[in-house]
Amino acid sequence: MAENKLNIHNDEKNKGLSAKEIHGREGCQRPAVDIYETEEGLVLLADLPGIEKDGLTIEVDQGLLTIEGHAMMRHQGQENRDEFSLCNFHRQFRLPDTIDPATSSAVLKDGLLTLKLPRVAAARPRRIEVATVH
Amino acid sequence: MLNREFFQEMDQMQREMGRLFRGLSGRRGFGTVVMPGIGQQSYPLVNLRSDEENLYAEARLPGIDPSELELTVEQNNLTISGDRRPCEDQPEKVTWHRRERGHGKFMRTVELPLDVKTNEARAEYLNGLLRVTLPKAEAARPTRVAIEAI
Repeated sequence: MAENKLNIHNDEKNKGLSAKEIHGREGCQRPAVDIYETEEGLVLLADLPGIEKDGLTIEVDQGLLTIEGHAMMRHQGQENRDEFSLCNFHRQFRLPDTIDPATSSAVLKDGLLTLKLPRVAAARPRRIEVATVH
Repeated sequence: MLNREFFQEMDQMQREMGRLFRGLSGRRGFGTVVMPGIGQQSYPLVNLRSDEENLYAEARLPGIDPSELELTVEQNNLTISGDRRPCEDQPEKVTWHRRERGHGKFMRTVELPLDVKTNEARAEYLNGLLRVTLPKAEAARPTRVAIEAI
């Protein structure tokens, strides 16, 4: 089981990325994420307030997961006192090789993205039944 | 190497710290809550905007069941409260890699800068944003004053 542990690397730690990618794009915020691992694979939850389905792109390119949200909603009225802006989001993660991007699925509901990243079948833990022979 | 992005990050940090201390000094003590994972800051973040007819309050509340949200307007105070629950279909035994989102109960009261018609207030929840429309009271609307040429 120990070999089966998945590891997700954050963008910052990866030296292969350019400075621009590490700090995120200009005018973009890094969404807060929860990432947990189950037997099936990884599940990523990301807060993307103000992002609609049409403005969201999720890409996996050679193990690099990119989540990019383009804000299409607009503020109402004139500014009085603003604490946040309807900004774009951008964040990248390095995925382990045992993830199968082809079978991943994503749902965006109420500004919350749920991204399921299953393991390749060969990497899943499998219990081997022991047969007793008399 | 010091570049523009570095300064942008420092600026952002300074603003965050400023917001934190404003909360501690009690000036906006009402709005300060402790959210696990998020820490002490105003939650949710609220924008107050207006046009001639209405006052708008926008709150950033991603991933919340709208039926869990409660909104009250009392005189000039708008109160948003609710419960941000952890994901329901999450299995009990999981290995965590990141936990940044936080969950729990929250409440925030925002003082409105002018009188509103509380009985005509309406709100919608869309894409993780709560938008409240509060029609301005007649007395608070701009009135054009005719100037007589003498």
